[in-house]
Amino acid sequence: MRKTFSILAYLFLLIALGICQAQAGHEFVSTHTYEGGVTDRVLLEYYGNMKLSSFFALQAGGRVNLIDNWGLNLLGISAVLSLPWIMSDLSLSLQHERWESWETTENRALFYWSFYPFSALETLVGIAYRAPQFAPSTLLQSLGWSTLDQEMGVVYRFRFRFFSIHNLSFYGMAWNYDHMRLFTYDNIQFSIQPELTLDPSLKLFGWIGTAVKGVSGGLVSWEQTMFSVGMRYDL
Amino acid sequence: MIYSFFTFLLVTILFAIANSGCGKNLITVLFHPSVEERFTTSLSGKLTQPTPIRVANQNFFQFAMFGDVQIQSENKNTLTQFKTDVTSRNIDFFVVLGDLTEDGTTDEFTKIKADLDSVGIPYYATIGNHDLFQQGSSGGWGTWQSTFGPATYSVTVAQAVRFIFLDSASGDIGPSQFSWLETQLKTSTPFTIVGTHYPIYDGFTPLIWRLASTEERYKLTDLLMKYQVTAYVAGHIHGYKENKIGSVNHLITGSMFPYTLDYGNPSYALFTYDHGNLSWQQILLPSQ
Repeated sequence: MRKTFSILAYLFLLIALGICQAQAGHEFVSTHTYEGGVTDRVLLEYYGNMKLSSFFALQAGGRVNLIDNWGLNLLGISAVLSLPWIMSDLSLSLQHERWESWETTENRALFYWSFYPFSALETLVGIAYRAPQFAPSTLLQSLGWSTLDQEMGVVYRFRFRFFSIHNLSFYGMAWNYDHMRLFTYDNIQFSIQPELTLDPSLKLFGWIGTAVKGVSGGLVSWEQTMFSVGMRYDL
Repeated sequence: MIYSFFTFLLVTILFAIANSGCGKNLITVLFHPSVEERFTTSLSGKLTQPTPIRVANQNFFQFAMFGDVQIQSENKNTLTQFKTDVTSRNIDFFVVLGDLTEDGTTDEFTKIKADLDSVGIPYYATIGNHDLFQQGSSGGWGTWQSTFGPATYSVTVAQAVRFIFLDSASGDIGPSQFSWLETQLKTSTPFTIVGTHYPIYDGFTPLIWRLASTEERYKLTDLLMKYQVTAYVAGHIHGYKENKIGSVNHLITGSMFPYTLDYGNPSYALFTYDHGNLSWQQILLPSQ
């Protein structure tokens, strides 16, 4: 099953890359995530963005996990409708994530509204439907959209620029959804993101973050960390 | 530096607001002993480990599981009704799955210990988030240890039902406890029950009452399925819920706390072991 999935996934990524060559943005990211006792992952990620018109874009992405739960880990595709007169985007996204060692997959659909009221502030709010599949015996089962354990939750991201000098900016983020990474909404991620603009079409960025989990009842656990470096190139 | 300050400030403000007027110690809320630290203490050998309860009839016995008594100094809790049931239903022992106290104070620990002892049958207990709400001489984890002993341990009753109790009081399992759990699960018994405070699932539109980390939940679910655990039994949510994921039953037992119900009435789960079969049912208690 892993082999079949891998072949299909690579084909998907090649097609996404090919399509994105036309008029697109590319983003390559390497991420290290650590969660004590649960997982320690090094991820290589690619996200492509293709503008089909002034108002409509397609985004596709995928990532490979190099250590725990190794292999192709996530595939996703999003349709984005831009509404510049209200400083907003509306997005619909379908994603498939896998944890091979735990024989678990998750299929999810997200609908969210991105709002950019000022140049220094970006917000995102929406809903996410998640359908985990435990111990699927076939590829088809791993791609299922209905289980007894499906969940509906909210997604959010607040990103603001708090410091800027020359072509270097620093952003702060509180979020549970970004770059097709989705956490439960009570697993709040906090990140700081330096971004260096080398020319108008090329940006380098870093990312360092931690998270609170277990906020229920008022107790906080600080057990997740994330570190990323990446490059964004817009044609 | 700026980031640390920003995070600290934001979280402090958030929790100062959330906890204003409550009996929680704000410092403890943010910087309580980690699950790793509590687990190490639980298995250090310095605490008296609970021993298997001896039941009168090894082929037929009953036990109750519930959480969230959340006793306060003036609290009228539902143990009164439970004490009546213990006699009328011939319950052999019971299990409390955390949140024995409301604010984790030493006074509350003293009171709940006396109340549980007065039920008159043996019991096991594991810790909940409310039991961590104080530190040092005020209560919390230190007082838990001196009152109830370890929060992580396993026992087998009548060589038939194995209980593995996990400490999830801060909403996580932690590296060492995960490893320990897998080691424990490798030993086979006819029925294995994993008991802890936090549930893994809470239905289609969950609030913030189940384990928060997606990956922790999925890893735990995989372990339970892989080792064919009979049931994962939790408290925390003030209501009763049953679900089945693969071959594993997931139960939220209901709460003994008579107020602030999330759904349904106060209740407990009554388990019956009868000649090689294990079954359970919800027993409702009157709401106040």
